Amino acid sequence: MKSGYLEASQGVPNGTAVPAKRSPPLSGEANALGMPPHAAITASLANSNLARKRARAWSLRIAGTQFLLVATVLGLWQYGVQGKALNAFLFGSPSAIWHLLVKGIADGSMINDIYVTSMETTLGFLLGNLIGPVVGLALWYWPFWEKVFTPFIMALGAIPIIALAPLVIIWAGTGLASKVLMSTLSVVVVALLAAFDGARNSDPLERNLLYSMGATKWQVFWLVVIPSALSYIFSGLKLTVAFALIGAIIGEFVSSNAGLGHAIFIAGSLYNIPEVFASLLATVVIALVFVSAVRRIEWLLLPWRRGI
Amino acid sequence: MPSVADRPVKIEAHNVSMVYGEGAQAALVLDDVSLQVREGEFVTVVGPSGCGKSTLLNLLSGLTSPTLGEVFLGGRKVVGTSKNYGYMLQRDLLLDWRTILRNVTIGLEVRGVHRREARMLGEQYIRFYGLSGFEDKYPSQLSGGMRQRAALARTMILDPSILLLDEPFVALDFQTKMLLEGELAKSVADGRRSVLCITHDIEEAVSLSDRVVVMSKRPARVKAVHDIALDYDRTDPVRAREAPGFGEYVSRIWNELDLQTEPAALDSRRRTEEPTPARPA
Repeated sequence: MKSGYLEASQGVPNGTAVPAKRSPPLSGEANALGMPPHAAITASLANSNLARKRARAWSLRIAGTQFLLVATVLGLWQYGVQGKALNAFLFGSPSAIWHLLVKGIADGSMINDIYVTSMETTLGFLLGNLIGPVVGLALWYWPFWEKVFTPFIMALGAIPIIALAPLVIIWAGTGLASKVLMSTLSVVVVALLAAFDGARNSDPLERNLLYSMGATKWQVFWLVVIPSALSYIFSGLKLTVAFALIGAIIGEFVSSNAGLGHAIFIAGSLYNIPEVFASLLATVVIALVFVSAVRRIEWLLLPWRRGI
Repeated sequence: MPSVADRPVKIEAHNVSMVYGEGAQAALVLDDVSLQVREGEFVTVVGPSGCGKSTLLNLLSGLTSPTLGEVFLGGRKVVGTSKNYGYMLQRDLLLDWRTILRNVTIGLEVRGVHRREARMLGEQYIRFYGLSGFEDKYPSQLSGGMRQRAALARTMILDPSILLLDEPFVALDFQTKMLLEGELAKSVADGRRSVLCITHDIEEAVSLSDRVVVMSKRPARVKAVHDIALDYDRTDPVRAREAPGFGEYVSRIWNELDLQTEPAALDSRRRTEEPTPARPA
């Protein structure tokens, strides 16, 4: 890899057609502007600096507005509760939520809930996104089995996951396994369909190109079909982060002794609204961390999509 | 060249008819088409847009099979996907997830050539086709002309004895097209390869080919066959266009194409790529 890069960069000054073609228009442009070439370059550099500054200002403005929005809502909320315009019992208050967050983190109870739910979600997410794409890609490879399994996959996909919860709890117990299974079930069909769609949408002409070179079906599968499916699989990953979390939380709702879903359920039945909000906030944070992790992995694994 | 007739036939369509659709919708696309390309020949098929030229190529590559008749590639009857021929289309079919070098060497990878060897050969071809410095770029970072150049390198690195080309340069600007036509001509100049090229560009056809086959509009039949007997250097497509006799071939073929335009309007010949010339329903 490295040596190739070096050779490549050496190739340029050695005068292939490309750089030679590129430089004249630049100097021509400079002449048209009535400037010596270096002045034109400085000017265009200044231009790109300006563009970068503008882009930065733009994203600052967006972030600033977002901050203002959140601050306004929280401020009004707090103000409303303190002024008795809002019922503190029904709506909680930002200060009470903050209080609970700090306390939950300090005494470790919330940390434990976050840990439990993250673990269930991670395992379910990984399991579902391992089984789903492998089966989805295999179904492309063996069309007979695709036809055989399609109705069953559709049936599984059509079942609301919550309807499976009692069975899952009975079969897998009230511990970690049942939540992981719930999470996996929420993920697996979506991941499977994403991968299968990706494989099916691989370009028939690209496949034919490989056949023209003498490739076997297996080679076409590895060299064209799987890489084409990858971007679909990654879309599936981003989508299923939320599904994995939903599955885990539903599992915790139905039967559990720890986790954010458990905390929300208990707090809700005790009308402890600030506690509900605090756990909800933690759940959102988990979801965001997961999504950005998946994005990061995609960026690392699919370098050809970085520009898009 | 009397010896050409003795050489083996490498690409052949034998009384091929092709029907698309069924029942009332059935449409005859190819009507009893036969053609042969012998070893070392460059044959171009021209015809009005939508006449079924590309269908012919799809049959040869095994993407579809003929309703009637048989096709042969390298002396073997085509059943299922054909193998071991060079294949270039209007779309370059570079794989987005591979760098240019790895796109160029993919055929070697398919054939199990050792990675280091493939890399060395790939770098050689990349240099030959003027892509030095772009080895580690992704296709999306290259211009259309460069991408098609990489596709040409990818095709030629396998040293194919049979080439099937379907309007490979149609999407390129004029200068790039001339350059690549020249490079294609150079690549086949050794006379070992058999080429079947589909195009609607009559000038391209005349400048590159030993023989031009003119197809009628749908249902496509072979309307005429021209042996191009011009004395010029094929590897210089711009010069070739200035060769004496070139213009006559072009206008003769132009007149044979079933186009709606007035035959005198020779200037409009570049417009043939416009969507199907209207034909009575």
